[in-house]
Amino acid sequence: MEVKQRYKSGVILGCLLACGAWLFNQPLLLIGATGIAASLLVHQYRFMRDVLTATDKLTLTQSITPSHVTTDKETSVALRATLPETTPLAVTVEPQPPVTATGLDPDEHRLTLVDEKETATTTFSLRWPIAGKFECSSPMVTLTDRAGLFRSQVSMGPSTTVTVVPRQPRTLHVGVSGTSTPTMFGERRTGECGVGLDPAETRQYLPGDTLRQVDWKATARTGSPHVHEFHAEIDLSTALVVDHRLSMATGTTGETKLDCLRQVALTYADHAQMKTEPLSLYTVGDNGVTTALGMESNTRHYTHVETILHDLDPTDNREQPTDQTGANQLRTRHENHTRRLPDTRSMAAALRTDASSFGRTLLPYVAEPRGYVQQIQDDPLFETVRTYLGGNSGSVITVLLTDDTHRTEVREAVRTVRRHSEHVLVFLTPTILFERGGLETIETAYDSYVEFEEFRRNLAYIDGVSAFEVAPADRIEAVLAATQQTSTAPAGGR
Amino acid sequence: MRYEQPTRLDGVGALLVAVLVTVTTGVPGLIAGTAVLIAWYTVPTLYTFAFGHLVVGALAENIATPYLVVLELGLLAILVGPALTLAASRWRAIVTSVVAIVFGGGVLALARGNGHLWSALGVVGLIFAIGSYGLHRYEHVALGLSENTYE
Repeated sequence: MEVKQRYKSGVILGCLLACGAWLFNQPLLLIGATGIAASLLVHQYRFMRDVLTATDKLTLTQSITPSHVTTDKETSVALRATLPETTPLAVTVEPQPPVTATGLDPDEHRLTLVDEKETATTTFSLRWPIAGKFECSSPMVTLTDRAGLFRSQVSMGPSTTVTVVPRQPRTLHVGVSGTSTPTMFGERRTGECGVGLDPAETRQYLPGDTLRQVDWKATARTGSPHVHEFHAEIDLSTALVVDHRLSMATGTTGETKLDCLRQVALTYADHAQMKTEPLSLYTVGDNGVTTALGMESNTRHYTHVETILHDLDPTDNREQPTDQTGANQLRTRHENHTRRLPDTRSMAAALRTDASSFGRTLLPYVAEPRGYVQQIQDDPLFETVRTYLGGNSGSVITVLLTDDTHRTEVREAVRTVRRHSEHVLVFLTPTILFERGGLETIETAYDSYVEFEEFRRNLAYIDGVSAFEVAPADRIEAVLAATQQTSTAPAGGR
Repeated sequence: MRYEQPTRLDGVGALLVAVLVTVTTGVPGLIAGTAVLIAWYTVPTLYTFAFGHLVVGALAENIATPYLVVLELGLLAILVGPALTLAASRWRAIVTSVVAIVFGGGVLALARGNGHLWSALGVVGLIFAIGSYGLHRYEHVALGLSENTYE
């Protein structure tokens, strides 16, 4: 219970009368003070009784739909107050959303129950910009008496909870041929023997083997000298190459190709941090390299990598690369490109009319479309791996995250990077599983998926290359389930 | 400015006070009575009630005790009159009147009895403080707003 200004004025008047009675020794003023005190006490008692009655009878319902949303989505909140009996108090009900919710104007959505009004309802929308679990507290009920002396506030009614999840794929499928691959992380067999702890084999002694390697028991048992072999332990480095060109924006909000591949990349970053493995990151936009972070293995570096991965958005064709080297390369490439094509065309046109030996000799060089390698070299992904990963040495595992839009380029990029890496892991997002309406005709979707699968398997056939598909699990399951009866699922890949 | 709705009861009370002080004290009473009427019409009830007591207290030496009692009843009417516009109007008016009479009479008797006005003042302050705080705490606990509420 809070007292308002009128009550305070009454108390002050009573005190003044009491002081006057004492100063002037006038008992009549004391009677005035007692009259004011009696009036205030009776009003207060009546107010308290009315408050208890009203709160006892008041029914509040609060509901949020939906209660599970992604960030920046809106939910609808419905608040309803019912008071079956009229009350002498003015009753207002105010919703109490958490501070993280936006879009609420408290003045607009305050319910007021006055006079004969028994039920009041309000509906409003809340936007949730931050992920987490939030509680819409019980509404705040304010009761005020008509004499303007008191006010009570009590939080009552049900509270509701909203779960706000970040925009990311909820069920991610990573695997081959529609089958999930349990893990791509952890210890990897190098296939080589050397210094290590895990025993590989026991073999006969060869000149050059050290005395420490001799397996004395096997030697005694067989009668000829034998030595232990161990799996060689090496320090692996991981190079992440993330494609975030415009084609990676395909998909529904929160489940785009880039969103799916981001999860995979983040998992690799986490794994590298856990194992304190050196990690490098290269991100590729439409116009070239946008990020180039070299191999490092400190906490600050891992955090930087994760931040970049989180902030990664599909690029626009108009955007310029942020990396200076990439920008220079791009500029040179554009200059060459814009200068070369018109010159070549005009030269070809001129040579076609030239019947001389010189003309006939030169014509094939300019009349033919540009060579295959030249085309590839103009593509940013290929340029990136050639420029930045070409100098890799040691045991580097390259993780390439892209889609199936630029297949020739991806194939050449994988071949290029394989020459400089211990192993190449390629994560591909099938475009058909991300396009809006892509699954409307299931047969077409299946055919497209089979094409993708062939492309993936072709990559996986390259020695030292593993290729995986990455997609929302529900979509890939939908394609495979719908076609299970009519078609034979593609054979398992590598 | 006065925010309560004027009622017949408090109007009669104000008129009674104005007439009685005029009759009993003459010109000073007329001036004071007119001031009370103006106050009743313009300022909130509690201010009129307090002002009326100042007037009666100032002129009390020239007023006989029966008139004083009637004047006090007139002032009481001014005090409880606005309650007639609120819910449970009769209950408020009657209870306020009874409590004010009992409370005032008791305090007056106490002051007359021991001859010390300050003790009566202390009793008034104490009863008001305990009563007001007690009601506040009772509401707090009944609404479950107290941290130490055990069910």
